[in-house]
Amino acid sequence: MREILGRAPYLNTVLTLLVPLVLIAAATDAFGGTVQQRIVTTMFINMILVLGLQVYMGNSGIVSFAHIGFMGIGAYASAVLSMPPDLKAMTLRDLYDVLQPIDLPFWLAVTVGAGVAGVVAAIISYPLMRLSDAAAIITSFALLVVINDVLVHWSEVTNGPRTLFGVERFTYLWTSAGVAFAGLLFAAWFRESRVGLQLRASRDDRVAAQSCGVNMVFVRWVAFVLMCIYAAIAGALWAHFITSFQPGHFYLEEVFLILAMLVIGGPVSVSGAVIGTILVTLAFEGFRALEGYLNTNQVFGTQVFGLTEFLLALAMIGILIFRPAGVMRGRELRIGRRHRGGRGMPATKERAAD
Amino acid sequence: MSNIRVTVRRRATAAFAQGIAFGMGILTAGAFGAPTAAAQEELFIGGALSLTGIQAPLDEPTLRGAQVAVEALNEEGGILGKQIRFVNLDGKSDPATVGNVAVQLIEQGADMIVAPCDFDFGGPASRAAQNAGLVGISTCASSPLYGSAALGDKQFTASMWNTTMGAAAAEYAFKEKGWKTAYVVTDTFIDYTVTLSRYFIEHFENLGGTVIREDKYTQGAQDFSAQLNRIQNLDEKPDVIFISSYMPDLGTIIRSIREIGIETPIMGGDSYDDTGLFAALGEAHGNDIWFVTHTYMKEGVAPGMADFLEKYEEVHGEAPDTSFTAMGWDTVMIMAKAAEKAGSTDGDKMADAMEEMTFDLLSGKLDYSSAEEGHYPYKEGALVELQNGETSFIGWMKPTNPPAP
Repeated sequence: MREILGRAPYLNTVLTLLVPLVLIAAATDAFGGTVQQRIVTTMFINMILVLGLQVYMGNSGIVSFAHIGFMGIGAYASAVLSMPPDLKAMTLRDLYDVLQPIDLPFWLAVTVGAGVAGVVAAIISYPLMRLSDAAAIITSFALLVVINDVLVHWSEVTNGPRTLFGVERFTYLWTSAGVAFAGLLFAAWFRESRVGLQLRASRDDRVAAQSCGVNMVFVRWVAFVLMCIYAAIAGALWAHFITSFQPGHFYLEEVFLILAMLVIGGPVSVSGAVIGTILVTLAFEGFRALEGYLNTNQVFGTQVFGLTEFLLALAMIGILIFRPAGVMRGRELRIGRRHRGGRGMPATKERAAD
Repeated sequence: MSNIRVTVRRRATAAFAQGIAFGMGILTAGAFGAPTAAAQEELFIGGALSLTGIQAPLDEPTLRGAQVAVEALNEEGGILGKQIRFVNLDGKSDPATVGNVAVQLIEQGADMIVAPCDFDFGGPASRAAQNAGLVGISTCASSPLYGSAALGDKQFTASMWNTTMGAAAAEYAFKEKGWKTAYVVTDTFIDYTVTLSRYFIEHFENLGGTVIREDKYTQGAQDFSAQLNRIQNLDEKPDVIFISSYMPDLGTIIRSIREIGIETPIMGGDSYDDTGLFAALGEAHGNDIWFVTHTYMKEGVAPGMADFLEKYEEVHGEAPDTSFTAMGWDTVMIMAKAAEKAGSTDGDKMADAMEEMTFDLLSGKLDYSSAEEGHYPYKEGALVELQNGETSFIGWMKPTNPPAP
């Protein structure tokens, strides 16, 4: 039983993180206006992406850019499958006849979208999992470029670089929050699961782990596919939240934002992913409010542009200099006494990945 | 050892608690700090125009024009006896941001929404307005998708559609200039660039012209050599090259065509109406170019133009540089006249009024069809010629039997 459930402390971590997250969602639901609701909904969608990135990058120690591409795959797959046929005729003039009449309910469309992304990821990524270090990072970047190119040029399904509109709104605050909670539980479990532990061992010492019988390619592959499924679910939720979008969204800017969230929070722990998402969202909205304030009141006598992105990049540099392992330094938040030793494996001392 | 662990944990928890407290602060400030009372005494027009990014060369001049219109109206007592407050938040040429910004403006009490000058970039603002039951008008989106069918029964564009713009270019080329063959280059970037070519081709062929080929290009590729090669190696030289693209790549495309010595006339739509393009081409390459745009910045082109030019100079201290400034003015004036006619800023009443009225604007007469017919904007296009890097106004053009959207 313990083999399946993993080591106990992750439940403590999940609960410790869930309490404030539920509070944030409930407070926003009760007191927040439309704008706050949208910010928090987006924050939870981003949290799913960051948690997915943590599953792979945090546990394997390999930076990945590709997941945002799979976010796009999930978004387009679920949007096209759940769009009413009359709207499809207007927005996608050259859609294949097979896809034209399909009108799936929202959750089914999300599931199929995640499935499509999962299958694509499983096929493409297996050979890439042998690569480590710089080569692995570069190929993940190349994969992002390839997926973006396909999205931009596959006009029949994606409407090319132009806006895909007519997607119905299904994602609200609790939809994205609920999925993020489930994602949190799973990511925390995965970290302590058999595959997760093997993956972390291979991150800390590749040679030693393999000599102990860890099939590094397989465990990396599992985590990579899981990350892509996370990203696709987030993409599907986002598509049904924003209702009109284009491939340009699933590219470098989004990659940077999600990566910043994870790096600032600390990639090694699930708590780092959650805290990073919250901190960056707060900082982002704070800077945006500041920019708006400066511009409406003409503080500098002229309009200030791009302050948000500039300050976010500065924050990332600052974190990397002064706290390279992120805010959480690879630790998990836990309430109460430390998990007693002697049961299961001793807690490994975690350091930042690379 | 255990002491160190405890400290780290405590510090982390404290940081976390601070974060939560900060978050709650922002959320509650937002919830209780939203201005609601102030919105009653004044009329609030919200703008989601982009001041940064690829859309800025089109949106920024419309914002300047809209500001002039707001000042002019306020001097005469505002709309419905209320002073107008106009706030624009930067949409950053990102559709998601444009939508968010529009939602934010609506929450702050906006009565109507000025949407960016394009379907792909401006659509999200109109969708937000439609969801809130408000009238949304795009300053100059010309995609035929910008209307009631795709966006909702309270959404309009102040521009002509590409059915008119493309057909006007085709008609001028075929009838006035006598060009019988055309070569088309289409940027697949946004719906505007794609549909402009579509209706140019359709009308040009309806008139009896021949389109040799429609070549594709994608904004941002920065490499036009493949397309250029195909133009150079044509067996039969076209009478005119129609290029439907967007700045900044539009400048690069035209330059590279002219630089290898192809002097064939070039035609296009309102994205050419940008001083940035004229500067990029200069005297050497800015020759034999014709484009269809919204109006022309010269007295006598349309009624009220002299007044606009004077007021614009008063507010901004210089003459307007592109006809997009007039589109900002026109958009606000449409809102003002529709609100006066409807006697309220209610979205349904204003939309009904707009469908009935005929507007006399700096960009010519404008008549909307009913919501069932898509809010088709019946308008004329303004033809402008570029020679030696200088523009001149040719005249108004209303194509006969333009293609259906």
